[in-house]
Amino acid sequence: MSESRLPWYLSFALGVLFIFLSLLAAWLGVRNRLDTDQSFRDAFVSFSPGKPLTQTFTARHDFINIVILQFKNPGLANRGEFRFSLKSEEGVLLVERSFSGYNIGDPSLVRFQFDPIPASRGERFAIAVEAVSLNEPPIGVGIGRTGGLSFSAYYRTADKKAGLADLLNNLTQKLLGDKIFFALWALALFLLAGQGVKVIRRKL
Amino acid sequence: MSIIKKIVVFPCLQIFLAAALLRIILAPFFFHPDIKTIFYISQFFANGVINIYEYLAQNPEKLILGPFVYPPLAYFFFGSIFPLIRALAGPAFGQWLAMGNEAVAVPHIFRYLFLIKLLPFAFEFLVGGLLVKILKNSRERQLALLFWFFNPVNIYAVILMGQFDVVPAFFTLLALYWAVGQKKPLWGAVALGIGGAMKSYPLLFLPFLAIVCGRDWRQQIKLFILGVAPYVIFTLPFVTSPSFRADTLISGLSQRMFLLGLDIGFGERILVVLLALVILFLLAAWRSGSKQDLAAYFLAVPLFLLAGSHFHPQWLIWAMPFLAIFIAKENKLFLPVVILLMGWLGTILLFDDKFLALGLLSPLDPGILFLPPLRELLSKIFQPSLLQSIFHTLFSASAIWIVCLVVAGKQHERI
Repeated sequence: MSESRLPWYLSFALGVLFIFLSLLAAWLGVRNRLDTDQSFRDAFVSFSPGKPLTQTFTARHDFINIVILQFKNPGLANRGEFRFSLKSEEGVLLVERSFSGYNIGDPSLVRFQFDPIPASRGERFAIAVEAVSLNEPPIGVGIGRTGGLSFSAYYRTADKKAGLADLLNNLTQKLLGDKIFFALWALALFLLAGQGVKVIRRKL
Repeated sequence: MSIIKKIVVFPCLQIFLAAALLRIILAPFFFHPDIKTIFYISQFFANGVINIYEYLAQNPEKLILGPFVYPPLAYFFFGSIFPLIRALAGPAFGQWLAMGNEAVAVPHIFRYLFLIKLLPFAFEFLVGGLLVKILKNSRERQLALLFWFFNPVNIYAVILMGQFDVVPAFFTLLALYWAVGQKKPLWGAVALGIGGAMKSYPLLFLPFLAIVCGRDWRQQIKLFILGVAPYVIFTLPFVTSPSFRADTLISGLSQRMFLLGLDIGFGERILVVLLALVILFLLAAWRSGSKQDLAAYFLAVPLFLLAGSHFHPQWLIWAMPFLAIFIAKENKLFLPVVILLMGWLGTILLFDDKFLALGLLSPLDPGILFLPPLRELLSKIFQPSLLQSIFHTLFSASAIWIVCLVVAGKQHERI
């Protein structure tokens, strides 16, 4: 094999192999996929007993089963009790979890996992988190630019076929969501890959 | 010759272009938190913070991703390029850096990952350029470059993880090039010192450069002092800082290289890695004057370090430029290198850290972070510690064998 073709074969083969195997691992291994992400955190705000912080979101998939919130427990000092709840748009309590400052790092993501909620697609939900204990050092919860809670919500994939479609769809949307980067990246790929194809075909 | 013409006729251009393609394909989609932590901390340099160690100690609310554990030049270096990266990344880049290690679902994540890996890529290509200059034989150049750009260690540690160990590795190869190729050992020593001021391991190469390249004991001492000087210049202003001493001087490497020991009683241990390095140094002193040996010692030092310690995956980058040189010259190194890399890969994939295996894929699907580490998955079939130990033993055996070949065996005569 010509030496100038070998690096191109390696590049194409390794590039495709890594992406393919990674997507395969994600498709086969992942049970809980991202539904809604508003995890960009602008700041941490303290919250006090009796004053819950809330955030609403509309689920994009059925079987919502995980909500992740961002907390900050300065010096791991707070060991008080907290309550997480998830309610429907009508105010029906769907999920309630108690958790402790012991579970909260500085900072850390705290995961609330519950039985998948069927028929959640298109439904509006309200997340709330409140401090229960009095006289504990302040704890911060992440909020986004709009002042609402920073959070991520995940859903349980129904079956492999739907999971594959979701995986590819999410990936495509994320790529196309940054049009400038995607355009420049694709251009660089196209130019280099084109050079590689030219070299390979020239020698054949 | 015009610049365009120089580029077109550049030896092994196709290898460089193909390597660039692979990096462009993979860089946006794989993530490890270490490089994000470095960029998060380096942004304070743009705000005028010089003593980052004291700054983080006095502002614990900023210490959200851990302390800065590298020597000061690494901070200044990343801090200098931070404004450019931030300008290209966009206004939300700083917020992303301040988020936790699992912040992979944010918009523009692919852009961020690509940009923060540009610096390691640039130094990978600089190492490639140095390999072209060091190896005069066309076939050796091609083999060395193919190995350098497409080996599993570079792919894993530089492309997927974005680790910056390739930056001090560049300085160690530059030291070799200047000391042996250009017959400028003083510059070589300074290069090691600059590399050491970014990550301390190049300082371990300095005694070998001094002893091999110094004409007499005076020049050997001079080379050593000049080599240490950049490190001292950059670290001296911070030595009085307790945080600097705690976080950087007592680094992961310096602790781990002293862990492997033979207990001889009464609280004493023979430190095996140090023993090996001293014996190697004495061999270099015995054979001093043969500058062609220097590449062998520069390869041997990191291989001994890794063979005898619980290494971080990216540490093998330290040896790769020199391994590329030797594997280009001797086909018989192929088998021990394959075993070395298998041992390395098996060892690191069994670390109890999800970001060293499946976690790397999290930008493709954040749900992958819910999966346990590979080690935990395998524990149902095999005892992970034993399996990891087997892989590390394979690695150590082949590392030591490679050192024997390049330093003392027939390979030495061919260089």
